[in-house]
Amino acid sequence: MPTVLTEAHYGAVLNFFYFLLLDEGLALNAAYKATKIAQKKLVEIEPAQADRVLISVMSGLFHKYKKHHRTLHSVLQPPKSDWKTPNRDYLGAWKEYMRRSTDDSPETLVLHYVLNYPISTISKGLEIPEGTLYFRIGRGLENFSHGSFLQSAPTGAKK
Amino acid sequence: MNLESPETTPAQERRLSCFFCRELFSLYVENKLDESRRRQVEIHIAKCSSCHLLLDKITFSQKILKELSKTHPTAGLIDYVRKEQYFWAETFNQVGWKNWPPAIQWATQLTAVAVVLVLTIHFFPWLNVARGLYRIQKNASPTQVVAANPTSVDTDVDAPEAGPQGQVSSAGQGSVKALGKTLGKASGKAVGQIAGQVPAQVGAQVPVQVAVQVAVQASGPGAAAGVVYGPPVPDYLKTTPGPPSTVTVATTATANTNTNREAPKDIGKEETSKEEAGALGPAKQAGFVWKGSLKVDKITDDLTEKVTRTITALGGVKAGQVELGWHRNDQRYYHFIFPEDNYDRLLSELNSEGIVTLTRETHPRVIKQGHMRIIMTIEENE
Repeated sequence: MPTVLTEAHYGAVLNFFYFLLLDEGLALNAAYKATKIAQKKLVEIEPAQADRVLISVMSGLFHKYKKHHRTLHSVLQPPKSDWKTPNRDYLGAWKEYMRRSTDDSPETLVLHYVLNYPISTISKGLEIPEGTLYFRIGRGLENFSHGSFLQSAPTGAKK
Repeated sequence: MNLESPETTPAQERRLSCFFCRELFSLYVENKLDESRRRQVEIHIAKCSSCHLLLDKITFSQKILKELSKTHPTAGLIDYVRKEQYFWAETFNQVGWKNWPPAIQWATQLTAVAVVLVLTIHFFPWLNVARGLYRIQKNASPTQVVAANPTSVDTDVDAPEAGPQGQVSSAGQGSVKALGKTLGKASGKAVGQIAGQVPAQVGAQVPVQVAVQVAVQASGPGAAAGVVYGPPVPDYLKTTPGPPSTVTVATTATANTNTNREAPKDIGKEETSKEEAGALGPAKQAGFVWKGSLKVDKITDDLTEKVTRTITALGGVKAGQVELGWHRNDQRYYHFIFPEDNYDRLLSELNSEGIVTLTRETHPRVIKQGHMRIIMTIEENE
């Protein structure tokens, strides 16, 4: 029985590219392509493997689009967004982190925290050991916490 | 994956360094550490304020990221991705048309419209449309309509031309020249007649009667246009504003009838030469010549013979030095003098073979009244 992409899958794909490309036009284009590729691959795959295939397709396309987003996202921000974000400040902190980031941590953070994929599924989809993913998560969270928004946030640390 | 450390007793617990503790933060916040490691990390952060501060920020970062997971695209966006997109929609999507600044979008659209307009104006067959409209207005058959642009008609002024009447003596030419100059100075339309007893040499000096009518039409709107539609009607001969001036000149001509001509001896008589007409000026070039072509699907020898027979049967006489139906490249060349009365019949005969296009043009050479000089080629349709 062929696996069919659900609305949750489409939303996940759109969010993945939205947070990583930071350009709605590119994200829409990439999401469209990713879903079309995934639909072809999912024809012969069991439903349990759908997430793994989807992660693999998204990651492959993201690395193709990665070279575009750094040059376009600064000028092609639409005034009205098609994505509903609960807190615009958090999104600003994420964009600031994306500008600083130079490694593969953002991809892992998005897959794990934003899209709520378990580490084991991400590991299978990206074909990367879980230890590497935890390492990336640690580096990503640390780098993310160095942002100006986080610096001013109140903490309970002892002085 | 075995991330848990081996079982240790409290006595065996060692204090973690800051570096190692920070390496474990990712597992700590994910609750992937075993109890002893977790306790070691908690002991360390209780004593190290910098690590404690960093752990707080990492925890807060984790909270922010989990909060961002509530971000969701609109239903329209999901529908857009779900549906199958077509060429133009996908093209616009690929170029990110939605995200272009409005000014650039307007400029692009205007440029596209301008390009389409220029290409349309440049390549649209306006001339054919104009011809079609003209046909509708005139309600004429297509064979009677000629090209509005006289330059499009094949002209053959380089072809050798000579009057079919042979040679005119110098005395006669001089008289004609004087007559032409006299008539050229006359205002309006002037019709002159030259009639005289000319002792011509026909083999053995047989006197022949030469009656030459000279019609000189001064400059006028009809003469300048040089283009007529339909059968020729010599209006300038029928309607004369003023009283025609008739001049009778006695002249002497020597007609060489040794050739096998069958034409009347007075047809195609040249009253003025090209040089003389040029000296008189364009306004005084009073003659006319019909130039044009017969468009057929395929030129054959039978067709050439048939056209030649038709012309000669209707009274047409070869003019110039080449025979009727002369092969000129892929065309057949006809240069002949033809009676005006049979012009309609000639057209109807030729129309059965193809599309006839004839244009009247001014020419310094004046042909005898009631006759017309035609230069026509038979061409194959492109």
